[in-house]
Amino acid sequence: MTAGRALLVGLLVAIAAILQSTVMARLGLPAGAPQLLVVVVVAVALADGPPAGMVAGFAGGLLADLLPSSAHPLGQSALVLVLVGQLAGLLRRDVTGGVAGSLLLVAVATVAAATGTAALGGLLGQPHGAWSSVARSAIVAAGYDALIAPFVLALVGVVWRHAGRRQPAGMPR
Amino acid sequence: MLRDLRRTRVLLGVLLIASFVLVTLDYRTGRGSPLDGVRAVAAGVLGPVQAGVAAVTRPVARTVSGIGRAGATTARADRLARDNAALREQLALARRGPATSLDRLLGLAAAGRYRIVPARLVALGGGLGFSWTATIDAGRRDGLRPDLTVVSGRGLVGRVKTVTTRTATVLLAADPASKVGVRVSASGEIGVITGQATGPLVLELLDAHARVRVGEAVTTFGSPGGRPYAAGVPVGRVGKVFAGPGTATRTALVTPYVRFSSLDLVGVVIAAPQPAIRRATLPPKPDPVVRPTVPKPR
Repeated sequence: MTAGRALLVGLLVAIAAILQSTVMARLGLPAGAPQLLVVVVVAVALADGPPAGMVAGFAGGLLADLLPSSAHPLGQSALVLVLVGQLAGLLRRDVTGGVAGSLLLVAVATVAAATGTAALGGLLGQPHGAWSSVARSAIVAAGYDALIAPFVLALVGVVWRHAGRRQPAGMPR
Repeated sequence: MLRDLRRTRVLLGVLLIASFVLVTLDYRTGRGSPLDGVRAVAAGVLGPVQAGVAAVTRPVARTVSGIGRAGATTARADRLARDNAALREQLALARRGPATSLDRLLGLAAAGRYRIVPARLVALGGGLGFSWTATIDAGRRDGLRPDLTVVSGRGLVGRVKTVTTRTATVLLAADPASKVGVRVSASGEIGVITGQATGPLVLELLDAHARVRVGEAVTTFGSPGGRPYAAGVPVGRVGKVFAGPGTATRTALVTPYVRFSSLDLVGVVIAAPQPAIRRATLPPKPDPVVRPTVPKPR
């Protein structure tokens, strides 16, 4: 990953983290909210592979944890999103070719991020409510994420294409 | 390819260890964490950014959350919401049931006597957590300090957690870490309300034999000096009562008046009327004029 791309990744996740807290979480949608940051991390991982996904997850998670509207220990979202970015990057070869595969990956990543956050929070002594409500909000968020994913994936793809030589998924690196 | 894979693994390890170290260092968030300085600086920078973005994107959020409702006349709705707040408050206080004259006196004095700083909610939540915290666009320069009650046109929103110069962080009543002492209006029972992150709030009544009916209003019990919670703020309505055997307390679900995911205009109670009430309940000075003790002939 070049310095230019690292900068681009930083810009993308910064926009995602800010928009998540100022717009997405406040839409008042029934039973939950989309997790834009997770979608962007998955999109970067799909576009460029595990290293970019991990860096995006770390930077985005750290920034989200630093926002004054978040109240958990610094690094908690970063820890979860690093793993999300890595897994999405590793699985990108399996989901190429179909839109449905990418959307499924986004949905799975959202559920994994939500349950991972709840489990990690549990270890740190944070209450997260009943597990049934955690599961319900995770599944609802996964649905919303699958809805916004086509636009986010397309946007990140376009940005990547213009940012320099594209590395087509599935090609040996 | 192999070298690439190894580099990826090293990167994964480094990033995971870095996150883990940060979490460990910042574990005691807000209670003397070594990273509090970093957080304060970040809040000072990112809070205004959030406020700016929220100001630009507010129409978008309003349009979406307003679908199904009348989203066009929001300015008028704000004004009505403020009027409604005062009326609801009076209503909740009036419904206290068989109140003593002292209670009525206190309630009358309390209605509408909170001094409030209006603020707009600019951001909700941050990372992936299940916490319900929000940023508002009023801060220390507006007279805010930690542990003040935050209300909206409908009822209790939460309490101020931390303050920067221009923004403040609010712990919402829906947060699983939030605990609010409350009184059930008609029966007068007291209990504690805890957030559940999603869905209704959970009310634990202190008396296991308390009789609470569905639909009763719940208001805050109040803390000494009105911090963190001022007395008499409407919270919600009892939705479902559980009578679990073998529990020391009785549990009920409370539907909050406030829709936490679409909050906009809130007020921070910077002065609760407690001290004024205490003085007001002193008996009046005896009348120096001597009255005749013999009743007038009819």
